[in-house]
Amino acid sequence: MPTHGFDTTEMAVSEVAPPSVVQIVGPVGVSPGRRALGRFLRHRLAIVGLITIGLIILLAIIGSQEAALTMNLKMGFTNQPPGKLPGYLLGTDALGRDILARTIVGGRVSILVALFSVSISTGIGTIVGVTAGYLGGWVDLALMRFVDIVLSFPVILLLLVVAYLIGPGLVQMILMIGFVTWARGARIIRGQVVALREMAFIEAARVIGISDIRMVMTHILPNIIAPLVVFATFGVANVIVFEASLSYLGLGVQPPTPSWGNLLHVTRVVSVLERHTWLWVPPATMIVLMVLAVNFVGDGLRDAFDQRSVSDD
Amino acid sequence: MITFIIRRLLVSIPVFLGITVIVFVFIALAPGSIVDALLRPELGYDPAAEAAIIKRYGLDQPLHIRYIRWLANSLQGELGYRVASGAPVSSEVLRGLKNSTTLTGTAMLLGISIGIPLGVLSAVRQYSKADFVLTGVTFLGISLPSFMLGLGGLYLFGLKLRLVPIGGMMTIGKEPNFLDFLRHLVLPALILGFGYMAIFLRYTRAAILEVVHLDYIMTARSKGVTGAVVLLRHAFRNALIPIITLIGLSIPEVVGAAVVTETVFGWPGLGMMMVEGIQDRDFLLIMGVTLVLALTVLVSNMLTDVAYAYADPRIRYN
Repeated sequence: MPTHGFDTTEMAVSEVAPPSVVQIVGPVGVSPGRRALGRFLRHRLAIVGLITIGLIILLAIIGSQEAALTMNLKMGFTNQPPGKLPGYLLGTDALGRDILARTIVGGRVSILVALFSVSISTGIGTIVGVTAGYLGGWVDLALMRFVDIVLSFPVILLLLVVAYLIGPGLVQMILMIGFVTWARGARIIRGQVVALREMAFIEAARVIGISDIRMVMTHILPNIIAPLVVFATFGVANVIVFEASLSYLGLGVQPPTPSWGNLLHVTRVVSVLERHTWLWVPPATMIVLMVLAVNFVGDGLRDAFDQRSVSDD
Repeated sequence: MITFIIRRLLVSIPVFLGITVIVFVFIALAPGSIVDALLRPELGYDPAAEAAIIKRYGLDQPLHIRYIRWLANSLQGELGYRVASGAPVSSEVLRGLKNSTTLTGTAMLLGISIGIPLGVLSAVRQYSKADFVLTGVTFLGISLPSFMLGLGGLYLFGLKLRLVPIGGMMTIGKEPNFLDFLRHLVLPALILGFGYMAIFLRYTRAAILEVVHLDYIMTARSKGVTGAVVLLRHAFRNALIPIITLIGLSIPEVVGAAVVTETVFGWPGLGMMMVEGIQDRDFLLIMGVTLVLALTVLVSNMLTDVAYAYADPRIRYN
């Protein structure tokens, strides 16, 4: 079922991007890209998700790094619940830092981790998947065998082993998440490419003798954009959770840089979890909001592109 | 069938050896060695102590000798000792494995036994109210991270309502008893189980919907086979393959993949042990856990293949 709805031209897919074509939604005589856009826009939860993500990203962009890192150890400034100190809307942490600012800047860090590592994993997944699917034969067999082995290990445990090997840190975490989570993408892309290879227009292109590189760049890649976008979207949600998990365990982003995950690190002390709720409720809420929003958008995109085979778990 | 199993077993051996080589090389090459973990900086630098540790752990030997020694020892169950407690890694890993399997296994059984029937129901009543509700629940179960559910659940049920204990496997100072253990198990198992239920529900629903429209189902129906029999004997049997795949892929997760849930609830499983091992830079412990993980992955892959062959005779003869 891999290619219907978006397999005519690469133009159709590129038309998905600009949101300016909103009004043109019609059942007949429109390109597959516009039909997909129309389906997406009718998916109400996906629109809600998109707006939520937009707001969170906007906050992350305007957030002040300085406010998030400024400590204030004066008496009466540390560990204050919301409403006690003017100008500190969500209260302060044990070092007198502004929780609101830390949550916002933490979001920036978490989102950046997600974007970079998803780019890496989608990149590797595409290269491996296209290579296996397009070349076929023993290359396909060997690569997919390897992908199967990688996929049969629980991701979080692989991440822990890699965390031991390369140590904690922001860049390390982006790299390790990127390099550990590509296998599912590779398998999805490979399936798409195998199906594409049999299509008439690919055969036609081969008959006129175009090179392999050109074939992949102009005929294969534009036709697998839809599953790639869906895979990458769900990937963002997964990475947000991986970042949160690793940083919570103290193996990810290191303080004083805030991230949604390492802001939750304090909950490992039970008394903080019980009594200092204002320290962990904001980042936890943001994680839940972001993950749900991204999943809504992912669901919307999957329905719009008719990509049931691209799963999010 | 037996030849099939034996063949699968023989293929697994080189794969297992390959994995051990990779694991060993990577972990041996990791920065920071056991010397750093064992030498106390506050006692000052003592070259004799360092030399003793290097000799004790055979770190002066070339890599391939170290690997063969490690492998020979491992095969005899000799995995070294934990840095933190001095306890043998083998017994620690077994203890962790037991605890992790109890928690994740319970969650998985809950998820499978609730998720599959609900998935069938959801598929049979496609587009009904029940299907709509179940699809919503599935979405939540798949998207909500068990990590957040764990923190929220612990706060609400453990700290505010005081319905369940706030962590660990049993009450300290109390005589270990089954009821107390169940009280500790229930919240983390339910939280993890919710996620598994959602995944199995979604897969079962999709798998059943995939087959119910096929010709052979219609043939069975037109021959007068009753609805329930068609569903169970004809549709479900063919929908089993993707479900078995999913179970097979989930089994390795009993080896402590619920790292964060284990840590949130202080459940002393392999996942939590792995985190402690990383903090102590205890490479023997990490090797031990990774070894168990690799073995579990191989065994569950094999079991999955055997289950395929059982569910679909066509696979056996290929």
